[in-house]
Amino acid sequence: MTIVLDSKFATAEDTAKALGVSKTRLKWLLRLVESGRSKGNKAGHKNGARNLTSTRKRKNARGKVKKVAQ
Amino acid sequence: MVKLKKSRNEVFLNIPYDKKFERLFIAYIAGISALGMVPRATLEITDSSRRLDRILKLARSCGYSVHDLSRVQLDPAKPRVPRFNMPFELGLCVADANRWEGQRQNWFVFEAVANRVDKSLSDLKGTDPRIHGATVRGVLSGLGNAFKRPGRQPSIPQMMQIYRALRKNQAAILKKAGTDTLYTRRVFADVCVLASSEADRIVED
Repeated sequence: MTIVLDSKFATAEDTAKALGVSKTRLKWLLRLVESGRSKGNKAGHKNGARNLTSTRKRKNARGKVKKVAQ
Repeated sequence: MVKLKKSRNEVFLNIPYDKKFERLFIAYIAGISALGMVPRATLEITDSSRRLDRILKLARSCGYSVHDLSRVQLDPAKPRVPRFNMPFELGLCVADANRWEGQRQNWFVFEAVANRVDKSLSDLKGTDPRIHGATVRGVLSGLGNAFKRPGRQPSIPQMMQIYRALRKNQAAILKKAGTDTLYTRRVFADVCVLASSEADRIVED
């Protein structure tokens, strides 16, 4: 036996509402799935180690200062 | 008795909650979500008082139910007993479906091994269980045969894509929930939301 469905296709928002997921968690989940889809921030990694954004900015700033000094 | 309004978009998922079943648990969520429906499970019921009433209420509120009877073995941990929850909840749903005149069959039985249910639950003779062979693809295929959504029918590769996305994000969800098991209310809800999000993107008109 096969059931033919004619109901509305459930979206993430519909599911979150049915299962009592808060809006904050829904946003986090959507961000999580979105980040998993992209290739990832390769610039933030060097030799497998993760570089913090603040560290990268500091290093870049140092380079600019040196160039100005020359 | 007041008849509850059924949601034709919700599926009551009756499965064993054990570590070895995790892959198939995710597969059921992926498959049901790919069909544009919302999985519901007794995991949502945390209050132990009048648990049976709440299970029945949850099952009744769903338009359909899926029952996996593949866990018929004895539990390896003591006391070594089989799990009766799945056949019991199937019985509740069958009785409830037959109670209302003109009610069409809205429940489906899944098994891992062909013909085994004829012995383990011979009262179901005449009902064809979907045999998944304890594989993810088997579960997805069974769900795809049980339900049709004209215009937006997911293919098995699309369902597999959703399944893989869930597996990929499983660790992050567990970490956020501070647990190592999928069988909690919060993790179940999070996985279902993620699955719906992926399904809505992947399964197009």
